[in-house]
Amino acid sequence: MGKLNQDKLYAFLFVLPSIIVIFTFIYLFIGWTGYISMTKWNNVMPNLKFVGFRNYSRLFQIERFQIDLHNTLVFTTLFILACITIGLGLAILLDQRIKGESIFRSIFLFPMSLSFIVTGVVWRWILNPGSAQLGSVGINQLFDKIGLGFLKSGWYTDPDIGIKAVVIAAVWQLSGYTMAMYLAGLRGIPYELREAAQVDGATPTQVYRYVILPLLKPITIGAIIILGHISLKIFDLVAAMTGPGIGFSTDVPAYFMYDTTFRGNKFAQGASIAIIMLIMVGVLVIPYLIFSAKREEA
Amino acid sequence: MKSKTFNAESRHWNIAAHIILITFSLIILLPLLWTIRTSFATEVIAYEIPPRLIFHPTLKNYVLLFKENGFALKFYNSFVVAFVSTLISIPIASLGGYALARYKPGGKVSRFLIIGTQMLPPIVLILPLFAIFSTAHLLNTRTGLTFSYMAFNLPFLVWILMGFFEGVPKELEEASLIDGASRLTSFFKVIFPIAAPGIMSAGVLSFIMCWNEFLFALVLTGAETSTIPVALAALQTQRGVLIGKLSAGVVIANLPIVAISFFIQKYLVRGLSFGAIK
Repeated sequence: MGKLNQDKLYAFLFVLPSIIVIFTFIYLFIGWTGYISMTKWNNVMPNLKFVGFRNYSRLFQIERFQIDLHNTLVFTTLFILACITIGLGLAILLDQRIKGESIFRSIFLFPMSLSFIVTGVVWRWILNPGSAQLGSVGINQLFDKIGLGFLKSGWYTDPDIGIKAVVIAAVWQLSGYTMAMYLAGLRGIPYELREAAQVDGATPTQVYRYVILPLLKPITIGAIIILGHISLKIFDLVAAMTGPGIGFSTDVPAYFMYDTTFRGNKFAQGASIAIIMLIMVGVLVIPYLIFSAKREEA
Repeated sequence: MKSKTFNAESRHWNIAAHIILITFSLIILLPLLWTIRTSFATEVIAYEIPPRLIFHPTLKNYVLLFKENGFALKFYNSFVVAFVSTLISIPIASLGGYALARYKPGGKVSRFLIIGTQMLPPIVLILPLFAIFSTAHLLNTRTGLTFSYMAFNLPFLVWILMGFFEGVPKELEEASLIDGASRLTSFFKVIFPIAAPGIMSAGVLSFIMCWNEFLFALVLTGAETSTIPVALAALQTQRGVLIGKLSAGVVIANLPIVAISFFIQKYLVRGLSFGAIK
């Protein structure tokens, strides 16, 4: 009994520094941001007078924030769909005992370790609309050269495309990561299962459709959660690639938060944007975390 | 493997698969290769139509970046902040991850509170950090930024290290305890070395995350203390920015990442997936 208590004491002491840091700088700070969001602190001088949810009700009436929510929805949907389609496709191809598989895998995964800033800078150039002075550059120039000039576009400077151009860069960066998740999933499916289905007369397409895809469902759910939470909090990529854009056509909540707080000095209003973002991510991720904790238990 | 006869159909399919995979590889690689190429080109060549593939390379863009844009200082800032913050957080996270793996204090709740932070938009923490740092005179200092990275990355590091320690057999530690070693000695002399590869890769991950971080650096630092990502983003919004110089900046920002990332891709995927894949 004495040893057990001593073990517990050690465990506690070992965890203590991490607990202190995490509680202070994560959970206490969230609470702090939450509190600021309910104060009057909307200019340079701190004013911590409590005003309840006034900043929130004002926030949802701001047109820029409505555009941001719409952009987030478009971005998240397209980003997830594209990453999952491309990722699953590449994973299935790589699962065919392809020569040079590890080389392909490394190439596809490489962009994920780059910063969003680097991706943004590079794609800002590739999707540059060009100018009278420079002529066409980047991908527009390529289209010109191979006789596909009609495909030329203003990309992120075209308000009708706007955030969708940023999706292209984000998919470039993270579809390889999605591929890796699916590949891990495919490798976890025993080969006998496919063989059994084939012996029963299933064609390769049927094997994928009826045997393998259903087994990959947990991976798909995981990918949706992870990609979804990345896209809900996206900031760096937009900051480096486009900024808010014409008529806020490439704006996102995180950028609005940054503008409001650190350029507009509206700290309470900025805090309310941060809290709304936290709630959006929480609604997506927390049920998943609870679900996977339960699954592990079972 | 009981392979079927290699008939024409499957060969065609194999070729098609390769074509798709190679095309996609090019989509990934070409933008990066083109950036590297442009970083060694003069402005005239960079804008030339049709673009020239073979030319006499120049280091002028790099020289200008260091001379005019202070990239030496930015590189130093990025490196010091990432390195020191990693150096502080890894021992703390190792102890925490180990204890969580072995004794599960606080049970599921503490695990949940740690993994839960992984979803956190960093923007939720920036306001309190800004407020504290401005009263404590830590704005525009490397110390402040280092500290904020340490705090923000710690839960993530605790989480992945916990995974590594779960793979270390309990018996080893018990043997050393029977031999009379104290808990702390047994941790640093027996457990730590076995988990070293895992701890190494956690360290590399932590370094990359700090190296790439943008928001905290943007808000908490100034001209003297800002890091590469901030400098790079600022460079391209300047009027009349030169594409050669910008490309050189991208290459410099990627240098350490390229050097280490190929070795740790597996951990990178696992670490970022909330335990969705093992």
